[in-house]
Amino acid sequence: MGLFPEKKTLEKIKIALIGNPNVGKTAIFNYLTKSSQKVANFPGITVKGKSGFFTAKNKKFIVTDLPGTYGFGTDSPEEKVAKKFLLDEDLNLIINVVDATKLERNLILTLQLTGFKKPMIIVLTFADKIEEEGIDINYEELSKIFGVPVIPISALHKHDLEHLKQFIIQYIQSPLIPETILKADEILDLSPKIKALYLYLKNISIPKKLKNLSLEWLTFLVATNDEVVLEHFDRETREQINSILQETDMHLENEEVPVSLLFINYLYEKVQEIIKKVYSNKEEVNTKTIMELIDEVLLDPIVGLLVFSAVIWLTFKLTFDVSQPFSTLIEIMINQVIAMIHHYLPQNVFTSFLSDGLISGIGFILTFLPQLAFLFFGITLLEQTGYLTRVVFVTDRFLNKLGITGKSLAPLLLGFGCNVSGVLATKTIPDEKERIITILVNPFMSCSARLPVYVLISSALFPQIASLVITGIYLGGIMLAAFMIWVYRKTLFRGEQSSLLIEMPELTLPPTSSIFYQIYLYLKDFTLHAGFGITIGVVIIWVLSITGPSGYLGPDALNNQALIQQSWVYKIGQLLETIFKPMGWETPLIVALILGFIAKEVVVGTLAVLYGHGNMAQLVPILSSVMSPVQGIAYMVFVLTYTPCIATVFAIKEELGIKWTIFSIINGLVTAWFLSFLIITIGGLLL
Amino acid sequence: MNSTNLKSKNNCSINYYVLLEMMIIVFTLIIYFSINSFSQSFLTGDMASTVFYLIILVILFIGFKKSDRLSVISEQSIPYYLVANVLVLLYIVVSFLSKIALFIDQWLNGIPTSFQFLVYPIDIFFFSGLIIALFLPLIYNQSKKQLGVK
Repeated sequence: MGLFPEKKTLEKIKIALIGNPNVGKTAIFNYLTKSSQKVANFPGITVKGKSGFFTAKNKKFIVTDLPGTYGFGTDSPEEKVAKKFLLDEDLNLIINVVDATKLERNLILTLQLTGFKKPMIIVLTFADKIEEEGIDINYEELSKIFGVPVIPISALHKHDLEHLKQFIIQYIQSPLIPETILKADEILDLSPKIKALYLYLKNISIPKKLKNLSLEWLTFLVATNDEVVLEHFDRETREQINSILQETDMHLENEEVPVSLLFINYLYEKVQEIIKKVYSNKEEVNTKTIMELIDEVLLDPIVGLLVFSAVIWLTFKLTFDVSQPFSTLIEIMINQVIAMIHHYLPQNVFTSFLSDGLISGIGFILTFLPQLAFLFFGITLLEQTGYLTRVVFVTDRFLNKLGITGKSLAPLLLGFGCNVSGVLATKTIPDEKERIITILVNPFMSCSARLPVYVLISSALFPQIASLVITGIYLGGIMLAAFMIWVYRKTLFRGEQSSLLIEMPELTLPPTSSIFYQIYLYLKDFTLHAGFGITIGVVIIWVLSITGPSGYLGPDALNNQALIQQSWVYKIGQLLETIFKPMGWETPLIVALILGFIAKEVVVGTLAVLYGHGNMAQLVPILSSVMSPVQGIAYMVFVLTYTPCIATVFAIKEELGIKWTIFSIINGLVTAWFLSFLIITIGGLLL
Repeated sequence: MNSTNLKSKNNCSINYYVLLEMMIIVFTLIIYFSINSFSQSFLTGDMASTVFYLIILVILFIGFKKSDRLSVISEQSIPYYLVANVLVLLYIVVSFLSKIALFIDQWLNGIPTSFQFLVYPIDIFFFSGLIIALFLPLIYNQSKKQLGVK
């Protein structure tokens, strides 16, 4: 026997969670895997399937949360991801999550899932709500129809979720494959095209990955030219399928209805049959609920926009005003730490690096954490109550005039948190042109990393109306994005616009724990990203500040105006002074902009190092003496519009390729310079 | 209690009498509070709050326009008043938190502070608004229970 116990090899059990958007799938996933998957009301927020696992009875249960989808039969990215996963993976269990309050629509997907012929269970969420609404669902009958267990739960009750987990652990030992609900004779009657194809597929050898599918279901997928399925066939078979479909087409006279529509109609009829058997409403409700009445107001084209404006302003007010004492407290603590370092450590290069570079830089980020926490609180609350989905709907009319749909709103709003997540979230936009436009304008949505720059400059130059100025900068970004969308639609991306299809979740008050957990995730993400940027940024600035063309200048350069003017940092700034001459910004301000390309939060850190002061209270009077209000606004607008940080640049490259990335960088720089120049010129004329 | 249920266009059953009794007081207070806050913000040069209260007044006005000719309160207008009221409630909470935050921040920065801000007239309005806002959901709950509106 060795020194270490032998590592047990656990049997792997692969489970897929699938269902319509907003059915509580992610809550189940979180409970099963204790993962950090996001629960939100945005339709289709899970672009890629996310995996987690739990272990029980010597088995490793690998659970994958698939993107929310309404069914198969379109080309949406969510549907493709889900379908590919169901076909390619050797699954031990499919958990179909169904919203019990919207049974009629949810069962369409359930019917389609039965065609995959894989072990399955149906989990009915919001079971508690249907009781409240006087609806009665016969679970036994539903289970009998599909031939698999039906488990009613409330997605938010831990007790129910634990019950489900225990059930899965037991059930996996002898799982059931669902009944074939789609009947061959009924499907063949739908259309001659389907019949011809069915007979052809029946007589050929089906590719390995498709063998599990019921022939009826495979016929539908092939007949609707499903790319994910067709790619499994060899070229010859694909050509044969094509010729059958074309040949059959020629024999048809009245068949103008697409096959997918015929099939969906058939599925609806099937669902109606099932509903009749299992569903009954004890009390016919003919009155509107208070929430439904409020919804009418929130979805009103004019009042909805007014409410949205008021809510957004309140969110920013909460962010900037209420967080202030928390920031002050952190600032005091950071200053104490810096003072202690200077007091206890010898005055050398290392001490200078530690206090003047690293700690003051990181200190700045920590100072802004309270503001971000309040901002994320506002965004999360709006998101989880379901209000943001109403905003998507209300703004769709307006956004449509510009040339995009409400689907772009979620990625654009996410851009306020971080442009990287904003850019990556565009995966949910099915229309390619709209997706590219949304990515290109996303950097104009002022990310949270830029907030410290605005706070610093507006506190220095506009102390009385700082929050109003910052709101103005944010609104300016939105207006610029709107203008650029309009320009892109008129120039580079002409053509037909796509339309919006979203599900409206009910207005609910989310659990407090869910909100705070989400804030924690946002802050963790921001701190890690910013921490990385700051560390690299500050080290570069520090080295470039204490060295110069004449060699090593020593840490005194940070506090010595004459010395710092000999540093590399200053020389780089001086090289670019000609470009920024019309703006009249001092060299440190230009240097901060250059290094801001690493990450926007570095701008403030750089100013702290270059002006030799590690906290905001000391920087504020310095900035107010080196900048006029007009120069300050121009500077903030430059920070808002110029090239986004390296992380965003890489995200754009990942999504759109190098060509659009270069375009985005140049576009940002030119726009920023032009707008700043415009502000300085107009401001100079007015004042 | 005898009450008359009237069926509206959108099938919503709301008791006019019960709502009128309770809502008219609340409505008057909201209007008074909104106009007062609007003028206060305007006079103190707080443009953001002025715009905010202008939005509230527009929402209240649209709600008023939606009501029938007999009364300012009807099932069509109530949701507008409710939304306006929720926004006012949020404003009150955020503003009050801002004032406390400012107080703590000044104290941390060593600036002499006092609790005087709690007795400023504007804060009395905040509190009266807060009380209205807190009681309003209770009134709605009570009336919808009586009326069988879900």
